Amino acid sequence: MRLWLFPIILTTAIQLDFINTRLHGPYAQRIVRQAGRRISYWQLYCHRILSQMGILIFLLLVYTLTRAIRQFPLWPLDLPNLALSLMTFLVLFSIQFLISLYVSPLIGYLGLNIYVLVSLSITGIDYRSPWTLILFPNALMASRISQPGSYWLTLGLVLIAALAWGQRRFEQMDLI
Amino acid sequence: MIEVKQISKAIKGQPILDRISVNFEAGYIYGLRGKNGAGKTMLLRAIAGLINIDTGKIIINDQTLHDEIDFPPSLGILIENDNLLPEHTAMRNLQLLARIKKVASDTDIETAIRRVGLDPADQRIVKKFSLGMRQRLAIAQAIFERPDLILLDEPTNAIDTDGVEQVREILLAEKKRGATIVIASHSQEDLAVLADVVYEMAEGHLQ
Repeated sequence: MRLWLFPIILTTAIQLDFINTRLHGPYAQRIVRQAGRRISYWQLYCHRILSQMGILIFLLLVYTLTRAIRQFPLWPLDLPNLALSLMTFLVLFSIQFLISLYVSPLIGYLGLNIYVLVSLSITGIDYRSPWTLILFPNALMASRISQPGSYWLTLGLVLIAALAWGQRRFEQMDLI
Repeated sequence: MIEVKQISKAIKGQPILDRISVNFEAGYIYGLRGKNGAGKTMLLRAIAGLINIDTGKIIINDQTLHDEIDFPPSLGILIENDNLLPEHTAMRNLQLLARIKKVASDTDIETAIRRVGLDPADQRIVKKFSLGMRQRLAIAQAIFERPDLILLDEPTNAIDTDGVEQVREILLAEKKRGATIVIASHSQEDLAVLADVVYEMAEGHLQ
């Protein structure tokens, strides 16, 4: 198993039951005191995504430190590829958040990870074809991508769509 | 004034609330009585804005729920479980909630905790509380901001006889203050002592 699979499996498992615990019990008291559901949605999203991205960046720092200790060269950093990978993680976390508003967190976790692993396992992809954008988790392996511009655009649109869809779902869902 | 107009709600095809219409006025205590699954808690959740209704309207002081407002603007609730943060003290639990609306001071919180027979200086975390103490704190949580609307599901559950008397006194005082109080309860005695009007619920209908 490749090294980059571990952060996906690990960081999507952080506080797996987050949505369920935040919408019920003590947090219901917080939600009804807010001016509206929209505020609660964005609070939940930010809390969840910041913790996942925070741990991911911490893992990245640990990885970099390990490389330094082993005396691998650290410089120059491949910033464009790194940024594309982090953006892909952000989109994956946001999709996981959206799925959690519909189904049990375990189903969401398994479904998302299977999709990512299958996407990354497909070989012989023609990266010039727009259809490869469906396999956007490939952008995690940013060095494979020949046209990063279209991936940035796709990831941006998917992120906006996931956030808007999530907000709409949250405004309509039953908080039981 | 809360106007519930012909509201219905079904979950997975099963009707939970069926064309319910009722008005709740300020300064009154209303009781909801019925068997388990009759729809009492769901009606409270609907009024609290926690569930979306399929048809009908809930109007709170001339503002339509889910249309103009997402939640009643001045609400205290106790629904099903105690809704407390187990790793914090009683005082801290209420302080954290008070930060959201900023309408209650530390003095208000201390007063509410004392009113339910607890000690605001108690440094024990809620996890260490007995069931009765948790229930008392949950009631304090529902009243400490002096809300206009108080929704309570089985408020005297797990509370001893003295405590029940204290809770009844508190609710009567809140009524006198002008709050609208809706209580769902199995306790005939609670409803007989407290409620000005008692509605019977069965299979999602209000009678």
